[in-house]
Amino acid sequence: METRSREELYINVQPIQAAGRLTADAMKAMISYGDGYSVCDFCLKPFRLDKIKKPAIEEFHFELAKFVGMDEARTVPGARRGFQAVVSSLVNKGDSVVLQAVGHYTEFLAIEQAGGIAHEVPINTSGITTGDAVAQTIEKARKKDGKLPKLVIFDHFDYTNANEHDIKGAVKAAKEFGIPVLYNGAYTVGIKPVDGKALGVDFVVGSGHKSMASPAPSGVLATTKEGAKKVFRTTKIEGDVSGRKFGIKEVEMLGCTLMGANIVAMMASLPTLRERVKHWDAEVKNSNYFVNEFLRVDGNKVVSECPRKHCLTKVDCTESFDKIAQKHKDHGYFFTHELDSRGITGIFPGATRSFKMSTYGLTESQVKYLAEAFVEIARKHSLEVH
Amino acid sequence: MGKKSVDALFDALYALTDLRVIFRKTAPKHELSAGQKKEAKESLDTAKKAIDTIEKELKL
Repeated sequence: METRSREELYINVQPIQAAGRLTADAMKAMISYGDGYSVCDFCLKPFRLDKIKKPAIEEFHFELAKFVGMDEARTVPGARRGFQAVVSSLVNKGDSVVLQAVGHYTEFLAIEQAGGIAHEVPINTSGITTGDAVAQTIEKARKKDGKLPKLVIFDHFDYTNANEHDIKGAVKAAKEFGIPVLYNGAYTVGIKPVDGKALGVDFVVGSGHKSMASPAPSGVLATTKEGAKKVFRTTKIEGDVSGRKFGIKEVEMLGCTLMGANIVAMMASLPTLRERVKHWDAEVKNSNYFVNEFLRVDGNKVVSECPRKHCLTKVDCTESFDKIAQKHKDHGYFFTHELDSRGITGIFPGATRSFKMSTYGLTESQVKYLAEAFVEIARKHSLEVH
Repeated sequence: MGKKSVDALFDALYALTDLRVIFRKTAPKHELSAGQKKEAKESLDTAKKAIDTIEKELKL
């Protein structure tokens, strides 16, 4: 087996890997609980995985709900399965859902799977989705479909530029029409404080492997008591020959929630998550430090909003490193090689025009080293540094 | 050979995991601070002790 050692050998700025890196305790959980049904040693009545007391999975679900400020939570195999569960519960064929034009693609797929209609909220000239735009889209949808949308899905930070969108405005707009809101916290839950009830949302979805220092696939779907009645509804089906019934298995969870090493690793990382969300400001400060140094290179641009409110940033080097690439024998790979020789990885190989990167989780000295590397490469290739 | 060896096996793996995290925090230069050197030494000592236990238990 080929060992993956890039996290040990490099500073990895890959945009979606940064906050999913495991804690030491999660790594230990993976070692101990790697076997398939490892958490099922003590699966006793009522025979549902989230009710298991040893290891303390039931307790973890209570803690997880508390962590995101909601009443109930379930673990899911990735945020997308959380979107799927909510949309499947609330949206019937021909119903509509309002979501951002910059919303994650899996939200669209969840709507498609349910036979729903997607109404996109456009971003403004600053790349932000405003509450007013959400209200206008709801009105437009009502006129077009002759009925109100069944759900608003809102990404607090989008996955392309990681710009912060007006979640409070979006919730206010949705609530005025009595429409429930799904908060997509794939880029927030686990790295910055999220309190679903304080925000007034009905559902909170987070990604374990993206932002909760957990292995893939993993994630969380949390909701209010009211939302739980719909999304965590239990089975009613009965076999017409066997007469079999399936107890308290939940339909959207297909019976049992996240299993084995993944759930135990999520559990192992939770104490670290509770602590690290308190230091979000320091992470954003590091992000802005890097961005400011990056912008010292003549021609470098930041596509994401500035100053940064997130550690994931989209940058544009068309007028800087890409100009070097045009004339270099290795083309864009000159930049990859320069970074690699300095122990930096995670930027799309060969990319010199536009790419995303994240400084999340790097120590202050690693961020400084990273910024210096960009400046050093620019100077080496005779780009002006201000 | 019994529970003692198995416990020692996990002790060694966990101690080396702690060292792995130090490698991550100090990449790419791996210039360890005094505190990190102390932690690394403790991890290695724990791992060595655990391996000794396994060798004794297995009469190797």
